[in-house]
Amino acid sequence: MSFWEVTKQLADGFGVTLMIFGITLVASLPLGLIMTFGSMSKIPPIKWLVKTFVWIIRGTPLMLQIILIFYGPGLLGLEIKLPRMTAVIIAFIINYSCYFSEIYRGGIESIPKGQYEAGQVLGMTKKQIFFKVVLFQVIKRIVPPMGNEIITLVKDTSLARVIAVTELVKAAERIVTLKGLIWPLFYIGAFYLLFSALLTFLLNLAEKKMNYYSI
Amino acid sequence: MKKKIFALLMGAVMCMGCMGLGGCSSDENSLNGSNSSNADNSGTGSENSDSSTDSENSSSSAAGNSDWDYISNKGEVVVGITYYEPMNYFDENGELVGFETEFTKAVCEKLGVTPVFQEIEWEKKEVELQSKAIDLIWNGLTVTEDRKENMAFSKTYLNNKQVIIVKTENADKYTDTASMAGTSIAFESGSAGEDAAKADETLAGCELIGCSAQKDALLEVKAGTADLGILDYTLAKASIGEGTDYADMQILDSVELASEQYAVGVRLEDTETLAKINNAIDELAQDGTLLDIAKKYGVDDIYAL
Amino acid sequence: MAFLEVKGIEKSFGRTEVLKGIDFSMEKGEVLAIIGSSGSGKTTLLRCLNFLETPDRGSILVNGDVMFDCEEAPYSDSAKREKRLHFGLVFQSFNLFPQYNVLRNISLAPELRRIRGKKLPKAEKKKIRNDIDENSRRLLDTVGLAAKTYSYPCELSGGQQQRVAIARALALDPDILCFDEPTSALDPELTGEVLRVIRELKSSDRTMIVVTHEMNFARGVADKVIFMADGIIEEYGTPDEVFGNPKSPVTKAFLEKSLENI
Repeated sequence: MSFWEVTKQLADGFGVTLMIFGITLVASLPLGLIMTFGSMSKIPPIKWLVKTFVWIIRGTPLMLQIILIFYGPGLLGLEIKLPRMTAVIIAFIINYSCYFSEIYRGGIESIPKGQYEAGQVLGMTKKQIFFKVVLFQVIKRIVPPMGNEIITLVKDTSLARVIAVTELVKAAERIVTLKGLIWPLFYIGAFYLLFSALLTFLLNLAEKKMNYYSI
Repeated sequence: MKKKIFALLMGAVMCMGCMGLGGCSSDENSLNGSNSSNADNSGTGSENSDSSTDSENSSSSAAGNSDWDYISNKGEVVVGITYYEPMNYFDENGELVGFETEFTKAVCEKLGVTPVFQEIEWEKKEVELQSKAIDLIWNGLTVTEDRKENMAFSKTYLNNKQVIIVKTENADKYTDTASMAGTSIAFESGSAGEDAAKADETLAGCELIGCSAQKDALLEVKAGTADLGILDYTLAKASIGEGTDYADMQILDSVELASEQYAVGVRLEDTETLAKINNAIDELAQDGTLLDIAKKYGVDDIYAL
Repeated sequence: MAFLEVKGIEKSFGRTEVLKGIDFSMEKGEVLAIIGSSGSGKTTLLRCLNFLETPDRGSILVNGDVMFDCEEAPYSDSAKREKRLHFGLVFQSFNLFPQYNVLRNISLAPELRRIRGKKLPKAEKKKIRNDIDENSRRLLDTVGLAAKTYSYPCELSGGQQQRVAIARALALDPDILCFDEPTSALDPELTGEVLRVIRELKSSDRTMIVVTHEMNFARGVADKVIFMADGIIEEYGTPDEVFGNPKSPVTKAFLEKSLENI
């Protein structure tokens, strides 16, 4: 199997990897924020519920969650059958929303009380204070931890193969098994590295853009 | 409004999470317990190891026969496989071929259902089967006593044997299992290879390395992190030698390990499905079709019908 | 009827009684200085006036209108928002919005208040924006920072930041402008520029309440002085009365101590 044939096959797997990455990111970023509001809610049952949920998700391996979401319904005798990719994406979105929500919470809690009070005495509504005063400061503070989490997400996508979704690693493993070639297994490292490099570049750009002020 | 939807969503997910946490501990119970009558059957039948592979299972429990309805209503049967030569693999045109592929198709034709081949992670085959993510395991599945707890087996159709692979340069060092004392041995966790290693007194005392797949055992030997690997004969034959990255490895012919049989894995409660598959296998064996397929893929030397 | 009337304000945090019944009034255009040792409740009083804390008892009236009455409380958020606009507050720690430049810090609140969420014709909106922009620049000029219009807070000294904060509070044109120890977070050499701005505001008849540790400033600028101790008003009068001839021994002791420090 030539280098290009291998590359072509791996590109298919990489497409799946990118899809898991993209959908998870797009869905988890806002969902995480909603969960943050839940975990910071003044209504105790909501706060308790969300905090427990976050604790469960952060306290168990993502791999287990993927397995649970895919096999769970069937094992319980339910007729719900999720396609493998859907199960993977649901698990990833839930997992990453929880991690993101904790990052958001940390960011929001790090904003000094004085910023809220300044908004209040200037007659702003709660919504205006959050979106006009606090949010941007939160974003600036969470870009670095968020960046870490996003880079981790790229690599976490390889967990999808536990329920036989052919992402990049699985695609390489298939070549290894079927063609008796070993090098593709290491070649995929280049895909991950290049993609992480691109993300790192973008994240740095974002950080730089927000560096026009310091606190 | 937002909060309400959110709370609902969270509630639903929480429930799943909690059931899941409980479910982990009770997985094994549900696997065995939900069909206790069948589980008992395979348990008692395990003394004479071949008995549960024929249609005895199906005749003994006539109750709850919706299993075949479930599959025939779908019109397709999901077959759990892993890709490996010569069982299920792609030819140069990208078509899925192989002994098991053609065998499966032939049986399904007789049953009047379409086979859907679904790649799985081998170590999760029992969960795949039980959760109905797949309907059959048909991929060089070795019949073992442990597995009979979790699935029913069809007639056996190939004799599997476990072989030891080694780097050619070291092949002369090993003449029998006694000469392997003190080595490290890689195999797939939970595979027949592991059973074979543990069944031999000397090998059981070696450093045993359980991998997540058979091909990883090859990689271990290739990388020198293990001295020896134990693999299925068919897989080993197809994976090493000319034109592969494992060209410097060979099967140790001098050492014989326990041999076993390949069969199709079926859900314990799917008794009707099992009976139909067994009938179809009989027919294919009688008219010579199955032997032809075996010859085509070079496994006729271990043909068992 | 006085411009501001504060009656029987009480406030506790848990078991700690911080304000134990505060009554005072002031006239339009007056400058009231509130002095007292830390923990005497003066900052809490100011925060009550600005709705950052809710008093347990008492009432607050501006120009005869009820701003707060414990009988009517709790007020809705929107009611609070309307009422608190009678007051402005300059914080000890400035609390400027770091991500906005000086001009935007000043114009943000008026813009949100007058444009956001209202269905106005485009031309009307543009006109309001221009008004606000013009007014913001004028205020910036008043505090002597026209040159820093496009600077960010982090590029300014503490004194400059506090002057921007004053301009920001003025942008909503409050009836009464409150200062919570406006120079306490500043290096001594920077306090002068802030106090100068407050003095200038007095000359334009701005009604102000200043919580301060600057005794000389209180004496020189204020029309009335309140000395608070342990949650009550211990002494009230003109600067000459309070500083020159305190009736209460507690006031006397405090003043002596403060003068020693100077």
